[in-house]
Amino acid sequence: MSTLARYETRPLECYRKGKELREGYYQRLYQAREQGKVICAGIANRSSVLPASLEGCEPMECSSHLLTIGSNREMATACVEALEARGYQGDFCAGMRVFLGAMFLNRSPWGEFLKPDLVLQVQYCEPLAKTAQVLSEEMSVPYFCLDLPVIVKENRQDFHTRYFVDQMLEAIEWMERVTGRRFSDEALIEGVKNEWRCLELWARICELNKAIPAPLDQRTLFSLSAPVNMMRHRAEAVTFYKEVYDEIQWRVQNGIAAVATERFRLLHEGLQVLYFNQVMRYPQKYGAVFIGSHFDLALGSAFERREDGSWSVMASLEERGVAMRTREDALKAVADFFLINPTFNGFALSWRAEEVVKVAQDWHAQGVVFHMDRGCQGLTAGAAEARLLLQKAGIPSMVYEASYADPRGFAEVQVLDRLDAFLESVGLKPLG
Amino acid sequence: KVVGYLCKYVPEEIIYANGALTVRVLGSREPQDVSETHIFGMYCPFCRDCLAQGLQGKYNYLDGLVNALSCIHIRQTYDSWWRNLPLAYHYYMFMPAHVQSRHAQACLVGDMGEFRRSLEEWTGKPITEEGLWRAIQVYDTNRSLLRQLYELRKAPHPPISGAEVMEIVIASQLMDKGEHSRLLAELLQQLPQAGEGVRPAVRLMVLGSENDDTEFLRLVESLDATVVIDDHCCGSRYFWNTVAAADGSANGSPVEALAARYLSRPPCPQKDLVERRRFQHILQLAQDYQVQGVMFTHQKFCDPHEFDFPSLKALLEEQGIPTLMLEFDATLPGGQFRTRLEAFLEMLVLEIV
Ligand code: SF4
Ligand code: SF4
Repeated sequence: MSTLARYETRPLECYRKGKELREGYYQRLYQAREQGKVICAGIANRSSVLPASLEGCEPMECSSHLLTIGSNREMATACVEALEARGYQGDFCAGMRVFLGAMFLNRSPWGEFLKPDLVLQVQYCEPLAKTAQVLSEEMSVPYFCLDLPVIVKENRQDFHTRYFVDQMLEAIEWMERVTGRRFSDEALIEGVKNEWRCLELWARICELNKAIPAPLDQRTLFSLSAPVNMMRHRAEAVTFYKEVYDEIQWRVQNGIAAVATERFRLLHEGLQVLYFNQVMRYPQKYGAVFIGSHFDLALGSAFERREDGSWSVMASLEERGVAMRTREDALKAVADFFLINPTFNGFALSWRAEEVVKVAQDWHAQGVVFHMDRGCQGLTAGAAEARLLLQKAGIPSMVYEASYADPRGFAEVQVLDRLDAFLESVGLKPLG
Repeated sequence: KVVGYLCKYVPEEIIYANGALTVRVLGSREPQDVSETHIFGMYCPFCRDCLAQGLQGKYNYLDGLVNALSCIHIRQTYDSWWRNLPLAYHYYMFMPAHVQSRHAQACLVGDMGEFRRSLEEWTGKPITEEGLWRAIQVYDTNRSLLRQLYELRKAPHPPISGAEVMEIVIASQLMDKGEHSRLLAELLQQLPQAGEGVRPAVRLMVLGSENDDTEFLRLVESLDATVVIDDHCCGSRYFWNTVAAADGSANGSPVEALAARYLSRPPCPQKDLVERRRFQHILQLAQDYQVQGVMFTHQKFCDPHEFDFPSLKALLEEQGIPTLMLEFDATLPGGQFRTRLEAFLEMLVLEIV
């Protein structure tokens, strides 16, 4: 170990399995048509259990597609330019612009744009349902919108649960009607049980990253979160996260670090710059490590906010005695996640700023880097107020401006200079 | 008590029935940077301008502030306002985005009920069923009078300019409804009947996000054009349908009637998520008011309207109605658009002749 290293590091064994799961997802999707299946698209729905429980239907989580395109600078640029050529402005959600541009260009990272047969969209951020609307019109396929109550769990009433469950019940009948295929309640119930197992396991894995040294850096954590956001209804995802949990727990017990030279822990708030992910590893030059963020830690986790704004892991369905016998039971369990999870609650903003401070404190982050993401109005909202609360809590923070998926105008040198200035301002020096 | 509101999906009648005056928070369209530390510059100028008014003390007389779910931009204005400014009361009401869903009514009735209870708790005064029906009556009267005012603009010689009408509609969002109706009824008597106004060279429709810039309308109308109709957030969408017409209260509950009205209003883009009902409404207005050109007046970064724009522009142009897109930034005076307006109007006049 070089003298600057403080901890032992070791490659992640479970990383390969995560990659295999992602490849399995794309294989199933791209073979779906040959196997006579229909494809049901959704953008950032995170849960695919509804389409997956329709017999002969393959769910398509479009955010994985736009994330892949976004990390390819040339393709992302071509897509956003193609959309502007169609009269769209160039300053709303960059992910949706990349996705719609790819649709108009009939391109995807693996050949042609994959045309869905139906669109089922969970609505919680304005660009989502509007992008699904344009997608369904251009592809002339039927579209059902599941409107999620954007509330905080303290204000949750039965009629909010009813609103979301009733829409899902209607969506199931709609899926059967527009595809002529049967919906399986058994698959739904089993799928929702798997979802909650993954959500609980992933929350516990994220909690393990509170350890010093952090067993995972934020980039790796982000890659490992793909299955919980793309296929958490599948049994193989549950098996995967059990393995990940065991491996990360072992790393914590044995002091194995993601970064051997860890001296300073950071949060990276705001989506990661897909086409220039060096930003996420750049601070390691100073022994500083990005270990998580409000979004990356909460998105696929069974976290629930406590009174003081900190997060606790929710007890499992079994421990909470949640009945899982009927379609309605299963849908209530799905609604529970969406109506309690801090990421979705976050769109109401009322707790987001406090939670960022709590995440920084509970995960022992000594500084926060905010990505002022012109390409994402949804998650950047509340960031300025979070900075003011961090200041009061004595936690230094900085802001750099970019767009997570639109590479145009990205000022690489300026961003890295700002990181240098910030890291030096907190007393760090480039390591040997 | 005076209660401010940010988004017009806030059910004002419930506040009025509690005896409070409702005031819509609007911007002043002057350059400012006081909101920078609260809302990043990548959000629409309107939401930042509104927060700036609050931070500059222009709304210190507000006892409360209410917002309903609309877009993330104005939600930040509400969030930063209660975090940084003295308020005795603030309330965020969820309001379905998918107003076309058959399940939206029950949910909105629930949310309006919660809002009602919260207001009663704050003021210590009950909001009775009769009080709600009276408030609905007062608001519907005002809406019908505004509709009568708008009807006059269908005439070949509209007796009133678009800028003057906008002043009247904005006033109704800032003052007591009963008082406003009284003045408006008087005006409707005095206004020369249809046909005695000035015959405009060009009849225009204004579409878009929030736009209370009457200066801009005066500029447009100084160029021998008249804005005869609009579909935007502080214009016709604010009053277009009455609670009575929405006819949503089979069981006689005023909250049911209110929910049906707010769900069936001419939607803004983020409440028009599956079928394009907004587009049909706009095409109907264009026909009814014999519109010859359409101006999109968008706030910069306003993504809800940016999503609708290309399809709506194409639809209007298919109907033979040319369009002009103008992007507003609160800090830039409307005058900057003069040359583009002149060019657009000249083109229109040539087409009409
Ligand atoms: S959260 Fe950000 S990236 Fe996701 S839809 Fe909203 S604006 Fe786009
Ligand atoms: S102008 Fe557009 S972005 Fe701004 S508050 Fe209104 S709808 Fe939202």
